[in-house]
Parts: sequence; structure tokens; C-alpha cells
Amino acid sequence: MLKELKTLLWKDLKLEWRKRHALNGLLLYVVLMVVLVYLSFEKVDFVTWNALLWLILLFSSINAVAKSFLGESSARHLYYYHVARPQAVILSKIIYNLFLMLLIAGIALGVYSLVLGFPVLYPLRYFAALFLGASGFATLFTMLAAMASRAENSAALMAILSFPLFIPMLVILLTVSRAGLVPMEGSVILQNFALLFLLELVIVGISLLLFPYIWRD
Amino acid sequence: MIKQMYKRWWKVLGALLVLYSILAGLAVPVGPGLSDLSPKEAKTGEEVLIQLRGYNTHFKAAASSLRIWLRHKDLYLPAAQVHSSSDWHALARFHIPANLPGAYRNQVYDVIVNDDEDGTFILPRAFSVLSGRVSEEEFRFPQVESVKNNDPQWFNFPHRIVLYESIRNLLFHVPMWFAMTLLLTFSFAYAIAYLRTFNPVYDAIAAATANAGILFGLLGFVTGALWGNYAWGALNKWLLQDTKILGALIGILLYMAYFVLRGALSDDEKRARISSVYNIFAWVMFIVFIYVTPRMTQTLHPGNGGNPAFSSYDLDSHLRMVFYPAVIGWMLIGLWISSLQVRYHLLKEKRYDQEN
Repeated sequence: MLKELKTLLWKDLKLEWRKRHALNGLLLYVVLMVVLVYLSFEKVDFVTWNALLWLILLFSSINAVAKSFLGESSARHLYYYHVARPQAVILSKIIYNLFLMLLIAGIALGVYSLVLGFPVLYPLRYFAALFLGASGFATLFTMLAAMASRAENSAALMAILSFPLFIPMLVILLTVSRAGLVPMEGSVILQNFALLFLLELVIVGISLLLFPYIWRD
Repeated sequence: MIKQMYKRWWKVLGALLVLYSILAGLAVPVGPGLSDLSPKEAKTGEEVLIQLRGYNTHFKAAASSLRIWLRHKDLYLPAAQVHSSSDWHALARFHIPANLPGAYRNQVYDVIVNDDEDGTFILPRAFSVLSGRVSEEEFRFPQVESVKNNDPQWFNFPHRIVLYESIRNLLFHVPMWFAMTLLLTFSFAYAIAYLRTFNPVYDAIAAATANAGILFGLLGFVTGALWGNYAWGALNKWLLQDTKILGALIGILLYMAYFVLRGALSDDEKRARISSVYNIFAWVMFIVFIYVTPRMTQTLHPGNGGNPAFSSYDLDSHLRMVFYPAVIGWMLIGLWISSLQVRYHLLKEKRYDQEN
């Protein structure tokens, strides 16, 4: 299992590196979103700052993750089906998307704070929230991308499927990331972080259980 | 479960319970209360004639036992003279003593009414006693007379300030929410059952219950919006700030996305498989949302964040006698609606098979 995971992950990373133009396009998308936000807002208070950053991350992550099952042909998926366990496939995709999301979140935060300031009081807490957020995007959207890739017109479907599912997570994420912006009690912060972490574990658990049903065709 | 779909008893039961809850919910009167009075203030040492307007009261019918007080803390000032011109209108003459102690001047008094038909009811903080003529004479607290009964002698729903007649909406709005949650849970259970057995009937049941769940979500949303518009003010002030409402909205959106997904997949077997997986995701996130997030955000909605729910409105449990039947009745109606859809689906399949 571990070996399969490593091979698949390495395959994904190599594939991404060979098709750098897709990655570059994604990064350009993030930067363009930041510029767009800057031009429409110019000055923001910290609540808006936080909300806009999450929205930028939401849209870029949907774009980034949606292509994780579309990049390869169905014939190649058939091949993976024969040589690897489905759990290894979905787990490798989740981990790969986590790397991708962390990269995107890092670059987005960098460019974003360059033009709109950095009103974070507790950077460590905020980075932790960002990490949990990025892993939340990766866990939730990977499975949805797998579902959407099974239908025609999957790019539009991806957004329709993921927005309502994402709202509950967004509410928790906004609360969690507020811990980095305003003083907050330690126990409350810990509770919220634990809640988000548990939710992600549940999502990964369901993904592992249900991915085999999506995959076999 | 599938056999039960063709049975008749639970559909009759559901229809009867819903019929009962609608009739009782609309016909049972709201309990007695005061809706207005004038004038709203008087000075000490004055004599004042207060006109009271009641609601669902029996001032005239119980004129001989009608008594009215002004109350502040432990002081009950009885009316010197009471007159009822009709069942809903009464006049009370009060002598506000000039020798009231300082602590009872410039205070807002409650108005309390008792009669044998309606029991005791109160309009809190309704009448101001201002400082007027002052006398240094020693003040003697009037004796509080005992009354025959404190409860209305007729069946009623509680009379609550702010809610008034709209309290009946509890019997329509809340059961919608219960029915929606039950139907979506059914949908979730049948999605799991489908993935375990690959029996296409289970997928049809999951889709039909989700469909009825959306219907009840919309109905709950509309009845809730009507209620909120009355009790909280204009819609745009509170609509998406409330987690319960947001929860209903997300439930509806999630399952609409579920139907979009079903529409996008043309192969029957593939559609059933993938939409079942989405259904499971949707239900988990929905439950997370309605149980977890209300604790994280502020809300006006009763039953969350320290706001009183049902139990505090319903001291004599008259509402419960209609509420629980309504919940069960609407749940059964929801299942009935989905069973019809499933049966229609099965008949269509059968006909398709015969034609080919």
C-alpha cells in the first residue's frame, strides 16, 4: 500500500513537472485574482481581508483540483485500476492536491499581503488555519473532482457540486482563521481547530470507503 | 420497507394526523391577554381612569369577578372600581396614593388582570407612575386578595408577547424541518443500501426521499420567512445571518446539486452509483452544519445560543398536544409523497421492459 502510494504520488509530481504550463496557468490565475480583488477594493478591513483571501483560495482550488482526474485519459485510469488499489489512488491524489494547495495558498498569501497588507496579529495561528484550510480543500474537492470527471461537462458540474458542500467548511474556516486576527481564548481556538481536523479526517475516511464505487467503470 | 410502500394504514394515519393538526392549529384560540391600554401614565396623588383592551378575554361574561392591579415588585395597587363595557374592553379607576414611598415613584408598573373565566394574565411594564403630589403620611401596603383560579377555564394556546397569533406557526413550521431531516436521513440510508446491494429500487427510493426532502425544506423556509418577517422584522435584516435558516438553505442547495449530478449522468447504473456517493457526502456535511455551526455563530432562532425554544412557550403543554401529531403526520405525508414517486418510477421501468 505504502509503496503503491509512493509510486503514484511520484508519478503525479513528475507529470505535473512535465506539464509545467498547467501549473503556471494556475499560478497566473491566482495572481490575476489578487490583482482583480485589489482593483475592486483597494482598501479593506481585516474581516474583509480574511474573507476575500478564502474566496480567492476557494476559486483557485476548485480550478486546481478539478483537473486532477481530467488530466489523464480513461485508458490510463483503466490501467491504474488493474495495477493499484483504489484507496492508494485516492490517497495519492489527496496528498498530491494537498501539496498543490499549500503551494497555491503560500503564493496567494504572499501576493495578497503584498498588495493588500498583512493585518494578522498571530501569524502562527493564521498559518495553522491556512494549512488546515488547504488540507480541507484538498480532501473535499479531490473526491468531488472524481465524481465530476465521470460526467460530461464536468468543469461546471465541479463548481455546482462543491459550493454547497463547502459552505459548512467555510463557516468553520472563517471562525478558525479569525483566531489569527483577533485575540481569542486558547481553549476555543483548540476546540475549533480540533473540529476542523476531525471533519477532514471524516471526509478522508468517507473518501477511502466510497472511492472504489466511483472508480470502477 | 418496500412492502410497506403498498400498505394503506400509515397513509391514512398521516392524513388524519395532518388534518387534525391543521384544524386544531387554526381553530384553537390563543389565550387571554391585554393588547393595549390608555392612558399609559399617571402622577401620584391623582385619580386615573384606565381603558384596557383585552384579547380573547371575557370581561363582560365574568364581570362580577373581574379584578385589576398595578404591580411593581411587591406592591399590588388594586383598582378602586372596575367596569366592563364588553368582553374585550374594561375600565379601571385607580387612586394613585400621594404617600407612595420613593422606591415606587417614577417606576414602570405591570398591569395584572384576573377573572374567573380567563384566570390571571399580565401586561408587563405597561404603566408608568410619575412623581406628582407628595405626602409624608405613612404608606400602608394594600392586602393582596386571593383569586379563585390563575388559569383560563378554556382550552387555548399560550398568549405570548411579540408572537401573539403567530405562535400557531410553530405547528406548521417546525414539523417541516423535522420531516425534511427525516426524509434526507432516509435518502442517506438508502444510498448506503444501494452501494451495498446495487438494487436499483434503493436508488429510486433515495432520489424520491431527497426530492420530498427538498419540498419540505422549501416549505419550512417559506413558513419560517413568514414568521421571521412578523417577529423579527424585514427579511433582509436577518435572512442569511441565522444558522438554522442557512442550514435549511444549504440542505436545499446540496440536494439540488444532487439532482443536477443525476441529470448529468446518462447511464443508469453509473448515475445510481455516483449520486449515492454524493448523497452520503451531502448528508454528512448537512448534519455537520446543523449540529456544529449553530454553536459557533450568533443566532436569533429559538432553541440556539440561549434563545428560548418551545418548552418555555408551552407551560400547559397544549401546543404539544397538536405539535407531536403534526410532526408524525407530516413525516408520514413526506414518505407517502416519495412512495408515490418510487411507484411511478417502478411502473415506468416495467412498461419500458414490456415494450422492449
